[in-house]
Amino acid sequence: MIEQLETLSKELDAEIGMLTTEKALEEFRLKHLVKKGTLQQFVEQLREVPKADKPQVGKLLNSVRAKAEQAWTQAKELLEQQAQSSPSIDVTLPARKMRRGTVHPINATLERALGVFKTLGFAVAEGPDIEDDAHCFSMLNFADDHPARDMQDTFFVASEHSSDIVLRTHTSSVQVRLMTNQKPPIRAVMPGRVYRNEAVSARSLAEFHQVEGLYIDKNVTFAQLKGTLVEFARAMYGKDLKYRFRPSYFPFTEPSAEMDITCYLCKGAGCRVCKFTGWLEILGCGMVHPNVLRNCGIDPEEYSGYAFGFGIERVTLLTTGIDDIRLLYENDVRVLRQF
Amino acid sequence: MTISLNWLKEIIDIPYTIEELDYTLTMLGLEVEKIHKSGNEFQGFVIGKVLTKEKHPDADKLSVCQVFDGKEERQIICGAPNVDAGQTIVVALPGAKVPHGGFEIAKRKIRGIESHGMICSQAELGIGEDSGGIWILPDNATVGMTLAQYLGLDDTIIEIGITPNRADCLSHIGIAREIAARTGGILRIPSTQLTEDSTLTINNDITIELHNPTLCPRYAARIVKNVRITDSPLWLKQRLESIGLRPRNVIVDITNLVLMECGQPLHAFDLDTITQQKVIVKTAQSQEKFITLDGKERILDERMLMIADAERHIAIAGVMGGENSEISDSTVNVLIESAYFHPSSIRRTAKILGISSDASYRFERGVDPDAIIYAVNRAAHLMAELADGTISQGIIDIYPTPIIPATIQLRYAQIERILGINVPIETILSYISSIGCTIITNNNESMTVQAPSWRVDMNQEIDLIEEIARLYNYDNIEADRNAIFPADAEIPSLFKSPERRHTIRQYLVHRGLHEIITYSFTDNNSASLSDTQTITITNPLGEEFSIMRPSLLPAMLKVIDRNYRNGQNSLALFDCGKVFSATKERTFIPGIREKEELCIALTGDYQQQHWAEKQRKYDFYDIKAIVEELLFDCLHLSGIMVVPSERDNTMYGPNRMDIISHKKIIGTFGEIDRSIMKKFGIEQTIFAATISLSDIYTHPQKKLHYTMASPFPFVRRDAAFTLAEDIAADEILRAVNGVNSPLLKDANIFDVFTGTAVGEGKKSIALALTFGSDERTLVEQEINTHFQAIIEAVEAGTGAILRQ
Repeated sequence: MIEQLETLSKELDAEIGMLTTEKALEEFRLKHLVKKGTLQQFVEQLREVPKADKPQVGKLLNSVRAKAEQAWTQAKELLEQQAQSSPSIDVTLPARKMRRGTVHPINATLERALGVFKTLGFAVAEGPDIEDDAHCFSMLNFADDHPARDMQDTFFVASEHSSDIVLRTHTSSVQVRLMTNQKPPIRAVMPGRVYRNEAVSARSLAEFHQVEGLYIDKNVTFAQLKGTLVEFARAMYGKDLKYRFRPSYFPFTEPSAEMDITCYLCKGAGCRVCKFTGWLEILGCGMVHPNVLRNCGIDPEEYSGYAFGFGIERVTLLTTGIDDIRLLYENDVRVLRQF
Repeated sequence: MTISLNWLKEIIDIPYTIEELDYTLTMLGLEVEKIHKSGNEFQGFVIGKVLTKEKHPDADKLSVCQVFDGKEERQIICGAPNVDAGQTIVVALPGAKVPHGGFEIAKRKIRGIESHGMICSQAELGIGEDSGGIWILPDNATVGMTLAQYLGLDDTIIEIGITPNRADCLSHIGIAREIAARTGGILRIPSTQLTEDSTLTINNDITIELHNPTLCPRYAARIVKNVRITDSPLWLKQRLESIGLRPRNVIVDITNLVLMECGQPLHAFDLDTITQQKVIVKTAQSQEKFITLDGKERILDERMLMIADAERHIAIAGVMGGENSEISDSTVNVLIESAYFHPSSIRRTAKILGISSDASYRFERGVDPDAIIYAVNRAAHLMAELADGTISQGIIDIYPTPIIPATIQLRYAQIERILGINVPIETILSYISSIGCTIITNNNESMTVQAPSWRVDMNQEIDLIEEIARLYNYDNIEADRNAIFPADAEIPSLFKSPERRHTIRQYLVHRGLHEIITYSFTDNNSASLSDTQTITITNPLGEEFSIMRPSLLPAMLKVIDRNYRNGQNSLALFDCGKVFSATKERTFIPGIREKEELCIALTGDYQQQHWAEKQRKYDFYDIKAIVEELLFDCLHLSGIMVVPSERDNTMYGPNRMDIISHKKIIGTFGEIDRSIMKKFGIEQTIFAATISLSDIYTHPQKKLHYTMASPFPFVRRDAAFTLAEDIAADEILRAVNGVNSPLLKDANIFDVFTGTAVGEGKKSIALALTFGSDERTLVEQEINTHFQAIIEAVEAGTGAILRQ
């Protein structure tokens, strides 16, 4: 019987090596492991083995049976594992991408700037592109027939109602709309499109975008204006930014200033972009002129305020490196896709 | 304003390097736009001395000269007859480029003898007419000096951007005054010392009538007789040229010099052309014609101030003189006019006539009324000195109502209130005095000052506060970053920026669309595609920019076309901006309506071609998906309907739908009409949408609140129908929904086909119906009942037959 068992053991060794398919597994089970299988037959024959030999035979039988069962279980698990993993594919083939769209660089810049001002506590307001002379000029302290009006060449709109309908030359007109419709405190930024009757070139367009800012309250100071704009510039252009405010003139603010930052390209050494001055002018600002406050029904003895404004295209050129402003309106998708 | 540093230095000490001066001026509000060195054209020209002169052995007319150039002795062959030993002359060294003729000097042999340079004539240097020989300089000219230094051309020219409020800075004295305010320096005002000839009296030669003192508050004049009209001396010519003015003759040059020196425009008339010795300051008559000294005929109107004599106009006051009275070579006696003309009157005249002269530029900004006499005297002084003129006794000065500079109170507390800085009173006092204000009274709280006559921009307290800020230096005002800002900044809803714009933009970008930005200006052809009444610009840059766009679509089509031509054959774009039309509704500006519109367009290949996908083109259902997802899934709008379009539409073809809100069409989408495509020369099919965002922004949103997700299983049942091809899918869904089955959770058309299998004129539509309940698991029986009811409703409602 020992011999028979050893023969079976050898047979099993050969068969175990073949246990790589469901079918082989099942045949193996039916042949050896079921009640009528080979191993059970040995168990039954064990009774007939002389008592003295029983321990030896029994031990051998157990080990053969254990080997068979263990091999079968292992092979089954392996096969199940294999069945669970998918056939391999070429993972280097191109992905099934959904194309991503882009926000236009002008609007991306605009949203970024507005985001900064929102965190600084400004609301966002908008007004009409087509304005009357009052909102665009006279209430902003532009005297009739004053050379300050030449600072912005104006487009006029045909109207049967009035001869002084214009395309706003600056978003400052929205300041007037707010101040005449709201009691202070007023704290808003006002984005929008503006129009200037100027020849189109790589540096200027007849229509472009501006953001205006206004803060009217009690005790608003020039020092606060500087503080706010420095925070804005640091958020837009980087924390280690150098800046300067220099006196300028706008009819609707006094004192007026222009804010320069060090040229991003040459870091102040002087280059073509900054016209060899080392500085880039980024915005105009100042304290709202008492005449403007009075024109809008706000008492300049009680309230003071600041205003500022800047062009979005200019900032976009600075931050994207696009060197011709007209390119922003070409809408070449090969360019748009880059942002 | 162009400033010569040499000139400026004659008036004020400048204790600065160029860089410091640049900073100082800029921080005073005088923006330095450009600084450049002049005199470069005379590189390689030096003052030399002729040591010896010998005749050239092989040429009669040539001399061989030994010349000392300050460094070394050099041999130069000279052909001029007037050259001689001992003369101080100008030497062009080898390498120098001769201004007149432009040839370069080189070392060369002339008839066998070497020449190391050239002795120059004035004509060759381009600074004079005399070509008869070399230019012999006075003996005191320093040998070895460069010609540029000798001529005073070794100058620095500063371009300053003067803001419209600072008329007082449009001169060298004006800029010097600003520097003095900073440095405390003393101005050296150029001399007006003059000797009048007591035998000549101005009143014998001229009478002046001022008819319009409002337009001309002050009119002054002097007469200089027996002048010699010549070219100006070199220094004067050079001075004008350095700041870009062309020298004319000594008289005209003097008026220009005084203008650029003190900012007061002068006009010199040929006294003998003035009829009946009478000057009248009065307005023109409508449609009168006048020839200005540039030879152009001008048409006047009744509001233009003129200078006339007894018979005719002789100048447009403050703008430009007349041809009939200008200084000519034969002029002997000169009338110098120095006046104050009303700024806005001058501006109006100059603008209407399209003339901007140095004079009108200053008058329209406001000149210093107190400098008028100084200027006329300064000019007379120079005419006596440089043109050998004789100054008649007396000055005419008509000034009926003197212009008094503003008296202004400055409250010290206001400085801190507006600027946020505390400036000591002594500092305020010194600032205010340094800019020429007269302090009338002052105490602990305020001062009262009178503005200087030249500061026409100084009228109220804020103007003084600005001066304090300027002199304090903006850089020294510390940025206050501690101000606490209210978090609840409110603005009237009418002006509130719509938040949905951002949501829409983000949705479309995530959906794979590129945002574009197009001009508000459009042309007639594009505008005429819309059936709205348009808004036109009266002074456009050109026809193609003459109308405010009534729609974004034409510009979108152009962008698509341009990109397509660039080889981009898969485009998904959107544009979001204002459109303009005439209206009778109440709006900000009567008659003009501004609305915001969204335009979306898809064309060409759907996505980039992928190896595992069948490539297809964008179609109607893509634009429909974007629009519906935007309206319903992204913005959650309620009460909006998307229906097949019944109204006429000029832009879209028959495959289109309208978006309806409150019975109003607020948008359309579909395939762009073929005829429109033809107009734009586009061949591929474009699917687009145009939606009024102004209506979307105000449209109510569905209230988003929680509904329990059912814990019980849902069951799907499919049903395919055969029906007539022309029955819209919508009708089937309407029939399905008409059953109002409470168990029906969703009905989706998942298959549509036509062909021989279903028969001609028929189509098959397959529905997936999902049944379920939030309360229990449905039993087979009730699902069947509801499913059957729906099938019957579809069959009855559309004539469809269930496919078995």
